Amino acid sequence: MRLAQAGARVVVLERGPYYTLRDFTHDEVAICRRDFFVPSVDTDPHTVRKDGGASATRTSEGWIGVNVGGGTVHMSGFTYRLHEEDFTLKSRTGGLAGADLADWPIAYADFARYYDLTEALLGVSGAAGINPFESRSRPYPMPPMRAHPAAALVDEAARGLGYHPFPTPRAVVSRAYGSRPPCTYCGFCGDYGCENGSKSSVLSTFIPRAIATGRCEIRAEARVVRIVVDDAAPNRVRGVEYVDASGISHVLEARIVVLAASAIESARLLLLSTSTHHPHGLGNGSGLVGRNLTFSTFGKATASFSRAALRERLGEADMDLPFLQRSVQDDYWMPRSGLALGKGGTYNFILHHPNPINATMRMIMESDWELAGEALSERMRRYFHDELWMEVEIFGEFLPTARTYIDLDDHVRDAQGLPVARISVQQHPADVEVSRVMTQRSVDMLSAIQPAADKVWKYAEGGTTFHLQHGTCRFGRDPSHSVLNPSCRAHELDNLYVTDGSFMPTSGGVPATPTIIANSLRVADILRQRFVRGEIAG
Amino acid sequence: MTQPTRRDLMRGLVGAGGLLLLPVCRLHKPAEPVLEGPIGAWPRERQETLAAAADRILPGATAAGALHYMSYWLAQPFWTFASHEFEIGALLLQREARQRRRLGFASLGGADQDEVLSVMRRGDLTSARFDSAGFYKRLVTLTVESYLADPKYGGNKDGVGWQLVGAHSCWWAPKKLDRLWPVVGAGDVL
Repeated sequence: MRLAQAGARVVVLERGPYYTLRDFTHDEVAICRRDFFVPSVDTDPHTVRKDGGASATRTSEGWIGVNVGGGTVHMSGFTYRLHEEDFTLKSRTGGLAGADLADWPIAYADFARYYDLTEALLGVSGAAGINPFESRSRPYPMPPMRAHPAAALVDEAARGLGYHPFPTPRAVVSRAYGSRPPCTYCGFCGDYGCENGSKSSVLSTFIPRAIATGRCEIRAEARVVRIVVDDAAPNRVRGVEYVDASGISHVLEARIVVLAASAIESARLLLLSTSTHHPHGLGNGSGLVGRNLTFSTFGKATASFSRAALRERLGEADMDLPFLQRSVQDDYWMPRSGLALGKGGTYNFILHHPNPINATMRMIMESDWELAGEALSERMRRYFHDELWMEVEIFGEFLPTARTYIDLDDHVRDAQGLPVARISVQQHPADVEVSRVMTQRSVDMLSAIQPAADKVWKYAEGGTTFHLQHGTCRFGRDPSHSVLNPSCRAHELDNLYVTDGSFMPTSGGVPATPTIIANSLRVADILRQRFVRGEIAG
Repeated sequence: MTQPTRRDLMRGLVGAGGLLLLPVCRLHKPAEPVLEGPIGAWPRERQETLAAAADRILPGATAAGALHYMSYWLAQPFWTFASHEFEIGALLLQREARQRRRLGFASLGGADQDEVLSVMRRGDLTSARFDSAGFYKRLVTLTVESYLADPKYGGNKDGVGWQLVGAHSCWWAPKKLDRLWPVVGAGDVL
């Protein structure tokens, strides 16, 4: 968008489809259970091996959103900034055995204005000045989303335990914003596209603005299979080779190539793009392409409340609002906790997703598949009519280590005949330890709510959220310890940039979406300067 | 006036018969949709076994269209791998029922049906080519889906599953909601 606005001609190549608002329904089966946003595991798998296991199995884990607008189309839109300590974790801590920590090569103070710009361009709703653990100088563009009345109970319980709950910032518009209408509170943000246009996805915001310049073309169902480098000019990329929906191969030449296919797939494409002068993958002189992969460490606690008891305390009004809208970041960074590395993250208070099939299947699975018959019917009736489930989901730091990375699978190929990305994942014990502590604290916070829950339980701890992924092309000043320079340009190539989560040396304790967009705007400014200086003729 | 011919008499009889038949036709229910797809080609007894199993897992599933839903999805790329597995599974439920009670699965009492399904669930019917516990999970998954999915796929007949979900869940398209929440009042919890 920024380059097209500056007068450059831009082509966006996207492997997946170009959905429009009309494609977005609430059909749980079609959208959530049949590969609407991710490719089929038969034609485009990843493979994964966990915890040092030898053999990798086929999976659809690690895909985010294979469509124009990527994962922002089906995200829930929880939009938190990184904190200052995320940029200087190595120097603050001196490092940690077994973790490949690195400081970011840019200052947080210089980056913050891009967060401001991101919030304005996307349309992010929130309330500044309530979370004591975030530093920001500007208010949010619009007030926070409306919260379920039970948020007051969360506030009371969390504050009673010494925490500082704040309204969850969302990339969802709480007011009419530009031409987009305000949210209708259907509750179907997560896993679905927003047919109302109120979710601030890239599809609803940047894409239309880019197209409006008349200089940006979106080519959907265009699968890039290789970045092309001529042997005669090994320090430049010539363009990309891609396959269209009919299976026909094209080469698109370009003066600048920006790669943003997700941390896993961007690294995979670089590893696939070998040539005489780049025998180990494009831009991989450091050997670090695909390494230092980080995800987000997952934990969750759930509490089941009686709706009748809640109505007694809260009244009848607004009890169908879908969002709890509360977050806590007291444990974002716990340097005096006595933990090996007290790098925690964010507690996000939510109501259980409205998907009825998913809710029913979860209850069956939690019974080890024994729940059936009249007992199942009765359980469903009680869940849907009598109960309200509150949850705390945790976004925890995921430390970079030598054991979590992607490479090319020797045995499994995609429908194009290309080796797929093989994900190796083994978490640092410090992450698991922190996750246990945070999950227990989530249980404690839910248990402190009055009226008391009928039941509070740990759903998961020390898990991995695969669709939050970073690190595989980390940026830095030293070409032997990074793939990209501080401008996110490949050290070895004059005109190749990578702007998805690959650039992030550390994951942080939040979903990286606004950080990735903010960084893209920063890199866009750098490219605009190059364009204006005539280094990139339009 | 000519004598009535035999043809006239036949027409008269048919006419009278037609008048008699018409009210009888109106008393019949509208025809069930024909069961198409892979399950539609199974022998009736195997279909009845699957239907009885679905009803044991979630009462009312078959009446809500479980077999139509499953037959549709077992023919789609995402689930074709399971089409053969479901037929083997139904056969094994049948065999298990006959070994226990010398009756078809659909003729067993509820407790016996549950016992046979438990055997399947525990993995006791696993062989080199059949994953007993995996089949059970997939059977449960498609049964639950059939009850709560969009009726266009053949299940959730007349929205019976969505009635179970209830009005306070906002899963239907927002256009059907008669509430919008654009205005924030003074006492609102933000």
